[in-house]
Amino acid sequence: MTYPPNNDPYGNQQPPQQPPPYGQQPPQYGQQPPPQYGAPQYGTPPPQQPYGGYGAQAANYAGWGSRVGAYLVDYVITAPLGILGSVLGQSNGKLNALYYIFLLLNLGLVVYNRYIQQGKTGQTWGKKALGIRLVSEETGQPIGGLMCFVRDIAHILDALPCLIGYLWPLWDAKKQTFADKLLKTVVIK
Amino acid sequence: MSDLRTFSTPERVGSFGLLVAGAAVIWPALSDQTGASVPCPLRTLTGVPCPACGLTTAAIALVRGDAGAAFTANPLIFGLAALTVSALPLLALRATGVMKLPRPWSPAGRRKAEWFFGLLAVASWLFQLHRLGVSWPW
Repeated sequence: MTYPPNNDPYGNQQPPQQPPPYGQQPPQYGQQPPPQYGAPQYGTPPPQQPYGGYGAQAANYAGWGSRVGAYLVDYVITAPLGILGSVLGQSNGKLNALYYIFLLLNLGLVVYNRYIQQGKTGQTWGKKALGIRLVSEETGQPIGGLMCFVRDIAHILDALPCLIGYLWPLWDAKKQTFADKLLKTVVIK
Repeated sequence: MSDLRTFSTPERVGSFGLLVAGAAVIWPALSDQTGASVPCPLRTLTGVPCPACGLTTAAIALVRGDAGAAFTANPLIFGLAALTVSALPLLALRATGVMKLPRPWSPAGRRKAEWFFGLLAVASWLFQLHRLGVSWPW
């Protein structure tokens, strides 16, 4: 199963029903309406969307630019703590307590933003600002904090071949990095 | 603002090429002062170069007009440069709405493109293995 899942209530919205023409009785509750000519029979699976096009399904995947933008926003949010730590955390060329306090604060912020919040909602602050979300390709739901952490470790694969994995969403049908492919995750709009 | 989704894959790669060209102009100003470099993580860890090794050197050489040095470092940069130059008018036309939305590739077309770029990556890897060799770090 791929994103969006078939049971996604937002993905299968039907257009509003036209009222029956005057003189025709609407079908009673519990009655099966007669099948329309050409309409798929009950139980027939819906036709598959073309894989990897720019059309319906592919349009939901977040672009490379949005993903980079979200990363930069997250970086900018945590950068002040790092700067404060390196400026105030040194005295006479030695690291003082403030350095470790800011380091811990920075770590806490990263853990909250990247793992706790993104694990629950699919969005870091950066992703929220850019209107994108990290979800499981199979369920369409956020992947949880632990898997977010594993995904960050898997980003090593993206970095290894001269960062090619990070560029992969530029041409990939589902706009996934290597880490996304490994963990079956997608970033969507 | 035009959404990235409205651009085709070659156009998106072409616009990335523009970023690369910009970075290749700015980067030497930083690296010449600081001696900073962008090492290949795979080569640093294992001693084996990757297909994209040399692209930073090639991009800088190309924006300085030294095509020979660019080719020696990584010939793939000419493909990216060609894509960037040809994508520029397309990007402009698409962004202004003169050109319609790109048509999706057929599965067969996508498969052919994947094979083509896969073989290109293998060729580039062989080139880099020949150029840099393997230097085991242990």
